Amino acid sequence: MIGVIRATALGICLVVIGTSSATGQNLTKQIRDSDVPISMSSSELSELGDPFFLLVLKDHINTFSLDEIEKLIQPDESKRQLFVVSERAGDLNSSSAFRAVLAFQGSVGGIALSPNVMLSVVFTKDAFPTDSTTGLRFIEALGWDDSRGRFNYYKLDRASGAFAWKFRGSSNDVDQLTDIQRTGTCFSCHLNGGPVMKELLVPWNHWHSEEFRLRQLDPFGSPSVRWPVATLPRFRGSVGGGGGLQSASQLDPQIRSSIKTFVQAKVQRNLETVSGGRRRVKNAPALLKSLFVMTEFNIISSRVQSNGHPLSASTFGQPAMPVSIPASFFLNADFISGGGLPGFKGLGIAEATNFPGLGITNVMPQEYAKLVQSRGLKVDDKSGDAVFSWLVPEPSNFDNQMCDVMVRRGIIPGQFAAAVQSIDLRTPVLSSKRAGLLRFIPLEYEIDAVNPSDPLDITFFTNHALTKHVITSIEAISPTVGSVESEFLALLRQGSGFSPVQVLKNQIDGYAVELKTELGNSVTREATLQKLFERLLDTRKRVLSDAKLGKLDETGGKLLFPTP
Amino acid sequence: MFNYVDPVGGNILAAQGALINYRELVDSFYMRAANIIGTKFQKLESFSLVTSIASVSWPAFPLTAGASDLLIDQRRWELQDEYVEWQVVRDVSGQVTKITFTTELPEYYVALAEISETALVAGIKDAIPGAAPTTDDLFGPGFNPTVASPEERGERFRDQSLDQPSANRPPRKPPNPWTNGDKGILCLLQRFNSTGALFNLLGRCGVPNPDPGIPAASQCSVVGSFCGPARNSDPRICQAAQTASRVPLGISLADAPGINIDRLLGTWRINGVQIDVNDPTQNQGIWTVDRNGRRGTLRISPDVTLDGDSVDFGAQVSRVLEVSAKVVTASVGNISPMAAGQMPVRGGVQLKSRSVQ
Repeated sequence: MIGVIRATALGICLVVIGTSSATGQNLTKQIRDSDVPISMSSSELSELGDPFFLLVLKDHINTFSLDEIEKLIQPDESKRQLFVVSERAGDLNSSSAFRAVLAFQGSVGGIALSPNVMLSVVFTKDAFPTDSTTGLRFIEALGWDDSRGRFNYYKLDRASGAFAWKFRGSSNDVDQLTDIQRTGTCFSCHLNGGPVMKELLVPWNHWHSEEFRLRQLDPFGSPSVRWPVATLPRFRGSVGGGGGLQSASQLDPQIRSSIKTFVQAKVQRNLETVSGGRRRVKNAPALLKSLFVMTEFNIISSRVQSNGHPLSASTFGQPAMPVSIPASFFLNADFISGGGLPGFKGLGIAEATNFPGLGITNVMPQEYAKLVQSRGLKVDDKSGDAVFSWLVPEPSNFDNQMCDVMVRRGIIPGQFAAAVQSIDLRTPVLSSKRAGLLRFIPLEYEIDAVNPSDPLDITFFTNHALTKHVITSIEAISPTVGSVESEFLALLRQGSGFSPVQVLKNQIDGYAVELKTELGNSVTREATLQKLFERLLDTRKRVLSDAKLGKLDETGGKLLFPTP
Repeated sequence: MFNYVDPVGGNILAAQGALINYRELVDSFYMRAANIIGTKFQKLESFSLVTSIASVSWPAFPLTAGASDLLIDQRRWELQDEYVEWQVVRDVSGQVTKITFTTELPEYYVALAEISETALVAGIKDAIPGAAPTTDDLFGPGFNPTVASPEERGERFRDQSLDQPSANRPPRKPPNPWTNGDKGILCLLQRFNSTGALFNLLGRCGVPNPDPGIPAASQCSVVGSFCGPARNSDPRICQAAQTASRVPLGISLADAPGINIDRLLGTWRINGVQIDVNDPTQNQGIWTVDRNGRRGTLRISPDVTLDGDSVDFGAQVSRVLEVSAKVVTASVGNISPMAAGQMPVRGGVQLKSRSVQ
């Protein structure tokens, strides 16, 4: 599957779900590609309450035409959205299949469609298959069941030569699956069970967007580069306006919204009310994993095009203007600072915003081109760079949402989260040091009945069961001086006399000064840029070679990131 | 001159005799943008056949603010720079009860002010029912609108209501309480959200860049202060203009010029039940868009949530508020030649000094 979404969906509303009588008889279940589809029991079917099931499968299980399915979901064409992504997006002459993500606005039968149901199909430059007569291979669908707090996954494909819809699993307990258990399932890519849009925030390196228009798909663009498929109504949109090919900028907020809703349901599921109204945090190591381990990744870059993308029609060698290195390359800026487009409450450390400061990490075009050329970067075995400069994996929106929601609900004291961020601060992606601390998290613990008014409050942090338990657990192993455990313990004990947030802020300040000094000095600038660029390449390499995260690259390491 | 329509879709301008004033004001912006050397931006009357009308959309959240949601709400005149501004109303406990978003351009009210104070008050009351602005509110102290010229009334209203970049002073909260948020919000007032800035952006970005090494999407960065490359809005508008200019296509802003409030995204719930917030039949009146898509009002009660959170800030909602500019393009063959250097005429006087930045 080409990077992105295998589908998505969310909530439901105004409809009583779970008591439906007609329930998509003949829907089969096939969790793995290699499984033989089996009938679903009436009990299993009664557990499906997402918009895709309710609007399509429940009463139209034998509908195999994309056009018909779209009509069942949203009859109003102006409220259908088409998004396109491909790692070959810049290639005007590509013969590869591009992926289309179909989303829906508005509501039907009282069911809110956005961001609760999405479809995914593939198409080529000449054809957009919609049924068996036009070469349709599959349709993937994802729907959010708001009442049960889970995503459901479906796929239409051929079994024994005939098309049939299959239920391909739900997001429940996906984080418990082993790598082997994920193989051949939707969850080899949907690692946490939610939607995946790797390039989530502006710009979008492989998506059609205002920042990177896929000229071959522009229905109103130049006929000399326009693909035949682009003239189809689904690209042009409705006659009265609306619908049609849309920019990824319009999908991004929908995905972020669906991830947040999913995260909140996931967190809520692991809270249990106990005596005195207090809440028990269950499955804590799994729930808190996102604080220590990167369970997914997103991709960010400078907004400046590299002008060195080998698959684009024209390459000119170097960016047209200075390249600003994304803040999240240096540290987990979105969560540490809060605010910004992601909208986290975060830890409120403003210094992380636009880290290390406006203009400090601007790389001149000739400097950037030299870095790219000196390392012999390739995309699809051709020398060059990504469409946008400094393309790099960053901490995922999912993990940061998990942390943010748990901090705000008092499951994790904000100061505790700051202490974790302090560990290996300069390795925001795949830090083994932070990951090693997860083992000190208790299986379960209790928290107050109500959310804290100030999650960053020091007393709240000091008295919190999580803080006390982790201190005790680390003390029990008598960590050696200078070890990560010892460092973490000192942070939790506030051994320096400073709160973890203050320590983190001081670290960030020092880091910024260091970068400013090294990049501002002509003697050290070149070596510093080389060091940073090597770190960029190392980050890409570590993500691609990670057993789980590497699955999100479906190009065999050739197209997602430029590599030597 | 093109017969520009009333931008808020009502009849106030015509009823107050201000429609011609409005048209002249707006026309001057079209004219100045079209007069930029080399631009493919055209006045609307130059188009004999419109090829397409495209929506260039962006989220209302000010990407460059670098500030907390609270601060973004509080420092509108400084931080809300995506051609969308908002006023947050809270109850005594601090809970948000209403957020009003506006994309209205000030020329609507300036045109009314040029007619009379009475006409202006009528326009304000149409936007804010129950408003009771004083002369000082609208024109500042020591100003007698009944003896002032139309131009003086217009300029005083601008100065009282907008953070005008031409005033050469630090960003400030304008004193007019009916639009600075104290008592209401009428129109865009932030200096980078000015009508002139919008037209200049299109006009400058409508000059085809002869350097093929500059992608159309990067044009924003090479037109100087006319485009903010780190914003949500400017690069997208600029890219649309530059792309069209390279075809080449003539480009313009559809009438009524300005920014449309398109829709709210996100997962909205009332009492835990998910709703389509854009659907008036479902949303229980919490979200209304009126004044021809230039004003959106969100009424908040404690049982309303966005993505599972209570609604605490306007900036929070701005992340899921989608707005757009409607850009008109036509092939060059379908554009009538325009008299070069032609300037709009108002009252027999050429308006060469009107600020467009």
